[in-house]
This record gives sequence, structure tokens and C-alpha cells, in this order.
Amino acid sequence: MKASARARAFGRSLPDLWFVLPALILFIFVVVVPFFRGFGIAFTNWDGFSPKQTFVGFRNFLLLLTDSALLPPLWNTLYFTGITVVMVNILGLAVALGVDRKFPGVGVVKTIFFLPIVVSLVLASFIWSYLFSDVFPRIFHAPGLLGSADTVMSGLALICLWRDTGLAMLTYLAALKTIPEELKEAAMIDGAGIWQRFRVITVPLIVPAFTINVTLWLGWGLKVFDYPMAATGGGPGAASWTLAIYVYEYAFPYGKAGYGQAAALVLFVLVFTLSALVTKILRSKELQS
Amino acid sequence: MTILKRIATLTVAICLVAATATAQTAKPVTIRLFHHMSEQSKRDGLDKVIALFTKANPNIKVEVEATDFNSYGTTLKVKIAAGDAPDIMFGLPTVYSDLVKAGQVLDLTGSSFLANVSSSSLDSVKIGGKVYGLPLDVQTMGVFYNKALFAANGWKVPKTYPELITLAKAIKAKGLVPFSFGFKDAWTAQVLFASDLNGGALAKMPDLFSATLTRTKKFAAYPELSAAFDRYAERLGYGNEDPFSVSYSQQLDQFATGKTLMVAQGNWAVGDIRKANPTGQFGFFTNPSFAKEADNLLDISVDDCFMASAQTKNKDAVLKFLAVMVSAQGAATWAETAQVISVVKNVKLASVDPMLSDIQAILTSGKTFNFGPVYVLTGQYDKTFRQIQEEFAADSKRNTSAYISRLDAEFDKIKAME
Repeated sequence: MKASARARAFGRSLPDLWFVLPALILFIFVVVVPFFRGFGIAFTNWDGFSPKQTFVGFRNFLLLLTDSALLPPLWNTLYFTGITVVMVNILGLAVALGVDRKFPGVGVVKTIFFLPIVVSLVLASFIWSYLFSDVFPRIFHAPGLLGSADTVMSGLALICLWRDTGLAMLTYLAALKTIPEELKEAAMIDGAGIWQRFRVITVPLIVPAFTINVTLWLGWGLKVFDYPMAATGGGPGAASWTLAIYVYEYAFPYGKAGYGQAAALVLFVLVFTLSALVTKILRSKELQS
Repeated sequence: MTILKRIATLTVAICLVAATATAQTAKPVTIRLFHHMSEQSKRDGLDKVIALFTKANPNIKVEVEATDFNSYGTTLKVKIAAGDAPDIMFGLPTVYSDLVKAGQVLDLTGSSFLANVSSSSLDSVKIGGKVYGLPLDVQTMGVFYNKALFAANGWKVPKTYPELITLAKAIKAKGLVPFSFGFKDAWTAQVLFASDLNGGALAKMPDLFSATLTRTKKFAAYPELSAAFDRYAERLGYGNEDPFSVSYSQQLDQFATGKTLMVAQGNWAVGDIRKANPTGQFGFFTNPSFAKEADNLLDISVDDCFMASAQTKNKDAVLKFLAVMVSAQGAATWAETAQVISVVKNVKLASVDPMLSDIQAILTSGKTFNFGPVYVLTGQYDKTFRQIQEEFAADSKRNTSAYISRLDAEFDKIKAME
């Protein structure tokens, strides 16, 4: 009986699985298969195009972990991730709190903040590299941030903030809408001030939004490739190389696909571990609240 | 009658077969040419040479495929690996030595049209004594200067490094900007350094790249290299502000419109400078490295070059095309349209920009160093060497010995990966 009930339940859920199937097949062929096939490449000296590849054991990993040139891209990646995770969330939440009320033109304000996310990431990088090189020096008489090795990562983070704040705002706004009005009203009647209401009512109830946003920008930050590639090409020199650019440079232009693949696997482990850790910590906070 | 009929039929049949055979030899042939030239003037030049060729050879069609420099090498290798090699490939045999070693490039040694090309430029396309490429023109990097403003202020063209620095100081003292810097496109920063290193400096240490490539010697063992970096640092102090926000074209605009007095660039910039100021009076001089005038040599190397594929099924058509490229008419068409300095002997040009005349005068004087054969860096070695020059320009501290140590560390690492 039990077995047949289970079979019936499976039969009922079958149509649901059919809906997942196209995406699953695509995911398997585009992500899972290349991932496992690429795993072997990390242990060879393959150049990326010739039919010949020789097994070199852990040599690529040893070279990678002793490569001092890996440190600047690692630092750049962590710096970019740190700034964007913190600032995108603070600004996104601040804007969401600002527009979570009724006033004339609120729709327009929301649209203005959301608009940059519609612009493609590459286009955003081009717009800003133009602003930094042509507008900032001429109008404000300030050097563009992308031109100096000391400020280039801050400049790239600024482009990300401009583009992504609207998206973070949207998630926080959705979370804020779920807070029951009665709770806020009750707190107001009890004499709670704005800061108290925010700390005791708003924050605990929007922790799930924190989990989503922090994890998303953490993952995007650690994998960042497009902003530096489109805005600076990794330059000046190699000043804005990130871990993802390091992987790309070795896998393709340098013709060292084996080493690049080894670097990609290390990057994957780093992103996976950090994201999993942060998600676990934030999820535990959700349960407490 | 029957015999006559048979003979007649046979004759007709033979004629038909012969006619078909003739038709087959006259059958149109298509040859494919693959390049990464981005300058419009060069693309126009190529189109004009092709038009010249097809006029003389109407049954041969030349199909041009082009891509950008960054993806060219990889795309070419993929095409060759797939058995789809283009008949004519752009590039220097020394840069694509791996393809030459793999037997993918046709040996042109002994081809009659090579007699038209200067022997020094042919030396740059030889590997193991055999000619694997057809050079068209040379490139050089030096300093363009504003003749009118120099004359108005009584400044003379510097012949030595101390004279250059004295001049830069004098220009600065007048409240003007000596050098035009535009490093936003990254490679432009390299020109300021390479126009110094690849001339007289490299002539003093011709084994710099071959010895450091095999790691038999370290970069730190070359005091002349450190001196070149020190001069680079000094020159970087005499340009406009915020150079990394200024693009290549803005760099040339600043110079052409008189906002700056000099710009370190290659001969490829002549067309763009002229476009920015069609009537300006501009000249060119060797970027000096040393206090002794005789030690300062202009860097030259073969620039545009074509190789023939060993896979080609239309060898005759390919060789015919290459012959037209270096014929008197073909070379003149190319040099005039592409605004380059031809390596073909006795090319008569209808009009030459005064900037190119200055370059030509230095070439004729023989005060040059052909660095092509000694610049043996390719792939990651080449990219790393160039990248360090850009980083040096972007770094406000610019500690020469730290950069030389980094070069050695990076080359050691690349070697270990081989």
C-alpha cells in the first residue's frame, strides 16, 4: 500500500519534473559536464588548442599556491567584494526605506533608482570609463579613479554601486512590504522612536532579504570579471586584475589552459566555501528571529 | 564512310575533352587572406592592392577575413588545427615560430619576387636561414615634435639624452607641456619606454631577450636595462596630468593642436596626427638614450608581413598575389594608402608627409638598429614584459630595482610552467 501510495505521489509530481527537465538538460550540458571534463585538464599542461596534453600531477596547483603574483588579484577581489557587499546593501536598504511610503512621485523615484540595472554591465562600464576620463577631469578638475593603480578598484566598485543599488532596493522593498502595519502602529503607540522601530521590528523581519542580498553580492563580487574587463581591461598594467581575470588570462591569451583550469578550481572552492559559510550564518539568524 | 565518321566523332570528342580541360584551368580560384590590421588606412591599402591584382588576374578572387589583434593568434591556430587554414596569413614568422616549426608555413626561399625586398628586412623573416614571410614595411617609434613652436621659441631638435631633458625643462619653464601622454589604452605607455630601449640601448645588449628567455641570465644582470627604466621614470615627469584618463586619439589631438610640444609614438600615428591638423608643421626625431650622439639609434623592425600557408591548394595563385604586393606598383599603392615606409627597393611615391620624410632621412643615414631579430619574446613572456612597462608608468613610486626583480620572478614562473 505504502509503495503504491509513493508511486502515486511520484506520478502526480511527474508533470512538475517535466517542467524542470529542459533547464536541467541545459544545466547538465553547459555546466556539469564541462565542469567534470575540465577537472582533468587542471592536472595537465594543455595549451588550450593543440591535440597534445601531458599529465603533470599537482604541479599546476603547487605553482599556483606559491605564486606571489596571485596576491594582488586576490586582494583586489576581496576589496571589491567587501565594498560592494557592504555598500550595495546599506544604500539599497536606505533607498528602500526612503521610498517605502506614499509621496507624490514615489514611482518616478523608484524607477530612477532601478534604471541603471537595465543598462547592460558592459555598457555601464563604458559609460563610467567615459565619465572618469572625460567628465571628471574637465568639469570637476579631479583625476578619474580608473587611471591610477591606487584608486582603480574603488572606481570599479563605484560603477557596481551605481548599477546594483536599485536591485538591492527592490529586494528590501519587497521584504519591507511583508511587515504588518499593525506591528509598526502598535510600536508607535507604545512610544517607540524611528531608530527603535527600525532596530526592533524592521531589521529582524527583513533578515531573509539580507541573506539573499549578501549571498548574491558576495558570489558576484568574488567572481567579478566583467567590470574590470570592460572598463579597464585589467589595467593600468595589471592593477585591476581580479581572480577571474587571472584565470582568463592564463586559460586563453597565455595559452596555459591546464594552469588556468587549476586556478579556476581554486576560485570555485573559495566562492563555494565563503558563500556557504555566510549563508549558514545568516540563515541561523533568520531562525532566531 | 564509317571510318571517316568514327574519326570525325573521335576528333569532336577529343576537342570536347580538350575544351573542358581548358575551361578547368581557367576555372575561378579563390584564395583566403586572414589578418588583424585595425587601421582603416591599411585596410584601404589592402583593398587597393587586391583590386590591382584581380585586374591582372581576373580568374583569381581574394577573400579577406579580419579579426582583432587579441583573438587573431588563437583563431588562426584553431583554423589550422581544423584543416581550414587561410591561404595567406598575416604576421611575422618569428612571432608565429611555433607554426613554422609545425610545418604550417610555406618556405618562400628562392621566390623571384624576394629580389624586390631589401635584404635587411628579409633577415627579420628568416628562421633557420629560410624565408617564411613577405615583409611589406618597417615600423619605428620615436618622438614627433611641433616644428613651428620649436622654431618660434628657438628650440633645437635634441640629439642626446641630456639635451632632451634640458629641452623638456625649458618647455616646462615656459608653462607649456613637453610631452603628450595618453595611457588610457595601456599600450601607449609602452611606446615611451620602447622607443628608448629598442634603439641604441638594445644595440648595447643584443642578447637581453634571448638570454633572459632561456633564463641563462637575469634581467638584473643588465645595468643598461635599469638605466632605460630610470630614463623612462624621468621622462614620465614631463607630461600632461592624469595620463591614464587620456586616450590614444586624445594624446595625438593634444599634440596636433599645439597643447603639447612632443609625443612619443610610432610611424603609424602619422595619418591620425595629420587628420587632427592637416596644415600643422610636424617633424620626427630619434628618442635619444645616451649622452654620446653616435650611440643614439632609431629602433626599426619589420611591421606588416604576410606568410603563405603550407596547406594551400592554390600555391601558384598565392605566389602570384605575393609577387604583386611587392611589385613596384603594388608596393607604391600600399605605402601611399597605408601611410607606411615600404621595404621594397626603389619605390616611387607621389606624395609623402614631411613626418615620414624625416623618418626616411634617418633610415637612409643608417643610424638605426633593427631590433626585430633580437626581440624574441612571444606569448606570455612578451605580454608580461609589456605589462610591467604599463604598471611602471601607473605607479607613482616607480622603483626600478623592484620592477627588474619582478620581471625575473615572472619569467622564472613562466619557465617553470613549460
